[in-house]
Amino acid sequence: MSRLLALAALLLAAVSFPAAAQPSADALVARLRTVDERQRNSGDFQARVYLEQNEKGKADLVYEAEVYRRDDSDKLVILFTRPQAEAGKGYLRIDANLFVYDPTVGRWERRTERERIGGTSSNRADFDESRLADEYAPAFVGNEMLGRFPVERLRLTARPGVDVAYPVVELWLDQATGNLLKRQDFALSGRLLRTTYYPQWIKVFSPSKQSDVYYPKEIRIFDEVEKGTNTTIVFQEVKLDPLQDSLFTKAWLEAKSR
Amino acid sequence: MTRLDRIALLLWMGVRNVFAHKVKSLLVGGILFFGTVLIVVGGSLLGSVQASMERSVTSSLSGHAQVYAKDAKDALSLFPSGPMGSMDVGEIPDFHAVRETLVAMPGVLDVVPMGILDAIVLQGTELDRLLDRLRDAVAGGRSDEVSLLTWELQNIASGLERDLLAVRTASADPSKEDAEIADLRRVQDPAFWADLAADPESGLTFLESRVAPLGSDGKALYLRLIGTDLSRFEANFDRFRIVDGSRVPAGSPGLLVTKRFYETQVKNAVARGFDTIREARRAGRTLAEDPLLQEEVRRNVRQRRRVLYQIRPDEAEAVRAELLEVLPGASGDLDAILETFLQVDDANFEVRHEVFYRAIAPRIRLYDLAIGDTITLRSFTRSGYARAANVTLYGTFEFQGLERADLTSVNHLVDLTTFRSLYGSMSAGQQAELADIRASVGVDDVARDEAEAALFGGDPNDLVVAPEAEAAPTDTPPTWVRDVPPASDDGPVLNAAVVLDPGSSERLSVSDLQAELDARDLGVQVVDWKRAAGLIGQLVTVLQVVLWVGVAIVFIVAMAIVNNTMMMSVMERVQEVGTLRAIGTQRRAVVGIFLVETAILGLVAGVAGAGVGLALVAGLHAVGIPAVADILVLVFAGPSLHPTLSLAGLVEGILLVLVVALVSAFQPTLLAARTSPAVAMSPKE
Repeated sequence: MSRLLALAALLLAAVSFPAAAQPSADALVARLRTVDERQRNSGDFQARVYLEQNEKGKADLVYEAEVYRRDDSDKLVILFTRPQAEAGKGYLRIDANLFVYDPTVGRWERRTERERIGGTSSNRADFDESRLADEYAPAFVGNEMLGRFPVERLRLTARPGVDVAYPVVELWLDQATGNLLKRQDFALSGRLLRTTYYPQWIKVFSPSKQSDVYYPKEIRIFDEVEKGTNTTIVFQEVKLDPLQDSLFTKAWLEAKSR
Repeated sequence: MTRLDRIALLLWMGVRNVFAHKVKSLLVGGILFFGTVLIVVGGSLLGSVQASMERSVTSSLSGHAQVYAKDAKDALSLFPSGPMGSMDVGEIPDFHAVRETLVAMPGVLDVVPMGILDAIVLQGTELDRLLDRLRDAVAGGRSDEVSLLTWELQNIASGLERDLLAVRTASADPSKEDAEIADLRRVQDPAFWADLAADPESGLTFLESRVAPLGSDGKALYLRLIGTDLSRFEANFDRFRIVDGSRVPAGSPGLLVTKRFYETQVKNAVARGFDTIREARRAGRTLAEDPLLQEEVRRNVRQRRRVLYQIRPDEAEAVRAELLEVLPGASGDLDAILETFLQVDDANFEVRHEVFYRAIAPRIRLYDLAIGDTITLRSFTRSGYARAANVTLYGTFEFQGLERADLTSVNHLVDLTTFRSLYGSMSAGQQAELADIRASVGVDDVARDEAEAALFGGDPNDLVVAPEAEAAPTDTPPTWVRDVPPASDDGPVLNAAVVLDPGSSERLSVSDLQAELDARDLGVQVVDWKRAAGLIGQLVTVLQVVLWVGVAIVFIVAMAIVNNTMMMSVMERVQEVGTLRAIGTQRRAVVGIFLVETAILGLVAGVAGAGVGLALVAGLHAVGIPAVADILVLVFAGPSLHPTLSLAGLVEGILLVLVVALVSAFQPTLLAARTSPAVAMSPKE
């Protein structure tokens, strides 16, 4: 029965997205913009995040953090709250800068896009607003199945002059909803660096946007270089209420950690 | 004929034969002489090197033995032998008990707790440092300091703008450069600083997020830290001495870095360039002929802003005037003057070096980390969490005689509390907390190979879900604990140095120490200094093997030549031997004649060789063998090796040569003894 269902899904995919109907470059950029737009909230964003990294032969890294975002001014704060020994550490993104704060030494440091958040395989972009259309130029690869999901596969190349963590990216987009289901990040050499899955999305009505906004409920990142290392991010308690202006400053994070 | 007469006769015949067969004697004697010299000198060098290295390592870091966990994943290596952060030696299960057990043994002086970890000092750029100071000055309301920093930041912005304008001319799309130039011009505008006074956070955020990234990249210093009880370390390692600054006060967090590291890694790049050129010129190299030195000059010119940006505005004119004294005809602003000043050649180098250290060095931060600075060390714990600790740099140190040894300069010393903060072993309570967090979220493990089936095998309609009815995030501040690890012996200790009492009559071996610890089942292993030193210890073994293989090859060749020569000698003297046999000489006597002859040759050659070897060693001892490469400084335990020779070494050399000679001669001697008397009466062919 399941085989029949899979066959039917394949046929449906083939009918819906025939190989000849390769989208134009503009249409692909529009697809990316849709992916970005569905996640973009014109107001603020707040969530409690669970972050776990399992690495072969090592103890697990586990964190709980609060994430605050203001997408219209590209600001992001990640404040670790648990475990107690890590509480008070935090990241602050202002424009293209990512600063990290450690209350045990009371110091800020500027980090790059490739900063591994809390020493895990996640990076800033995993918590931040999606900017795929601005950061990458897309190319169509094909239609395929991901588990039971008919998906559209795109290959993205970083736009010149844009600082991104990975220069080449492949995306698997759910054909039914347009949500991102799978992402693979590559080095310039073509080496696969990590695979990320987005198995579930949360739909929240945004009063400021006056429409629905989508957030990944869970992100699973598999390190393809250090095999056996994987990171799980779970978003909980998502809120879209306005946040104070002072929240996106060094002073706020320092005060929170004091 | 008495026994004594027979011996006297044998000796007389041996001596007679040595002189009667001069060519053979010279050949065999020469080979044995050469072999003896080799054994005596080589043995002396090897023994001296081994003793020097033992002194170097045991009196600087390892002690006579090291103790660490029996179940350690990796072998302990006090000197780096792999990639940064790769060594995992576990923890000594109960250091307190280990120490008690060992110090109770007669002959053990002390047990010094240690731990090794790799840390990073992330240094921002000069711009970052100025902005940190500006934030502090603004927060503290120190307007004079703000004014001074304003001038410095405007000065830097002006320099960066000049650089960007040059880049802009070559850029196909200068929009990025235009935006950056606009930011830099804003910093140079007094209105910006007036706004900053009114709204400091906005102004500072602009400087930190828009201007700071335009500076050059910051430098990361990698430190291999030995965390230890610094007082006990100093008391037990007599080669240790403070060079700059002071020792770390007991109970205070403190760092000491090696003098060599401080001079080569921490010093201002331009000053270091001057030092490098000076050192090379003193070694006979010239700027005119050495392309590497010419590149050093060019690099110094390129790096001039590392000096320029540090010169205070109220001192800039004085510096300019002092530089112009040695640059007649030069003109322009301080940047232009400095550029000309740094273009040194053989004729002006010494003067400019002197001017640099007189006029510029006192006015800049000569070292990126100054003695007395509080610096932030960063590391990753064994479980992967990032850790940081603030620590005061109290000074620099060196191990006497090893000042130039790079390998001993890579280990820096930090107090045990700071070490334990960075090492961050996790308590049972902390582990339980992690389990609690994990349980509260309820995330299932998903294997990589099954991820797609597990995550996307369900109903596609369930992809999008509504938010769960969850409690709103609370706005209560996070709570955390700042555990201060103990400084005592009760905290984690990874390894420990066992220092033996040189005055004690007890000669404890590693197995003695191990047996005592095993008797109390303390779960640790003991290794000698050679094994604990890792690569350096293996170097001694390699040197030993090389010398003895060399000696073995020489002696095998020597034995073959001696054997062949003796064989020819026997053949030549077959009638003489036959005659001796015909007049009643026993075979044993014939063997005796030949062996005594060989022994006389071996003894004479051995004594002569030992004498010459002794003279050579004495000469080398007086002159010293210079350590021409940095690794040799460590091997020689100083800038030169002064080999010594013991009486035992001399006697061993002579005896070894004698044995080799007799063994080589034995087979031809037996052949001679078998000569029949009839041979003596046979006519010569």
